[in-house]
Amino acid sequence: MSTHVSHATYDRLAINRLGLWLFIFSDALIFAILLITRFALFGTSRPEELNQALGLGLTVILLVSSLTAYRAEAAIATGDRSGLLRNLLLTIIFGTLFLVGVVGWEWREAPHLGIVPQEGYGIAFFSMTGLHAFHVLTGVLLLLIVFFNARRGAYGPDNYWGVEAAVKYWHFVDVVWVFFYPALYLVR
Amino acid sequence: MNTLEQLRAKKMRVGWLVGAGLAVTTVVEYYIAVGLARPLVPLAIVALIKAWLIVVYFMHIKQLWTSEEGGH
Repeated sequence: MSTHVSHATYDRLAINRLGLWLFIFSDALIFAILLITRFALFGTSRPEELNQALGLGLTVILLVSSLTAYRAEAAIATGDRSGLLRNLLLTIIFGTLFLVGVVGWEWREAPHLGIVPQEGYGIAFFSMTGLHAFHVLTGVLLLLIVFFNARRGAYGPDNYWGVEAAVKYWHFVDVVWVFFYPALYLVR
Repeated sequence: MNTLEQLRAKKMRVGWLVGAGLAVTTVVEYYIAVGLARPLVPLAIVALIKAWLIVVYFMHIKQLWTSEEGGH
């Protein structure tokens, strides 16, 4: 009987993971289309005026947030609840910093450099950073839900699918930026 | 040190190594962009390496076809 329950639990987890990866692959297609459109419309050209320091800073913030997200999952997988909470909080802070950097700083600065959402390179720039920022926002909200659930003691080493799913989604958002950063800021 | 602590130490070590790999590749990426006249292909290769590090070591894509890790 216990073997049957164990198999059922494993099957559910395997199906959950498969479902999440299918969602991630389908979502990745939208980003891939945006990336292809950017190169189809503008080739490898980009405005020289883009704030390189900000682009690099945002990239570092998001990569560090992926490390803290990984550490959060590793912590709960090994029974360290305080490590989970600490690293989730750090990930949420880094994610919020990234959002502030893109929407609050870059989007305000870009029009002064001639990059506007209605025309030219700005169409690609704002649609790519906009859709990505929306995913960052939903990722932060997911991580907040997981954080408050974790504070109530909802997760343990044998039961942390909620943490795993939110963290995987967060890493996916990071992988998208790994391609968007050079496409928007570095190629020429 | 019990089994869970050993596992935690191993996972944290992997995390730091991958983090270091991402830091190095990001620096390389920046200098490729600054130093090369046509950096598209090298930048694409570096981006693929970074994505591979995250997908394999942080997202554990191998869990899709094996139950070796994370069988909670």
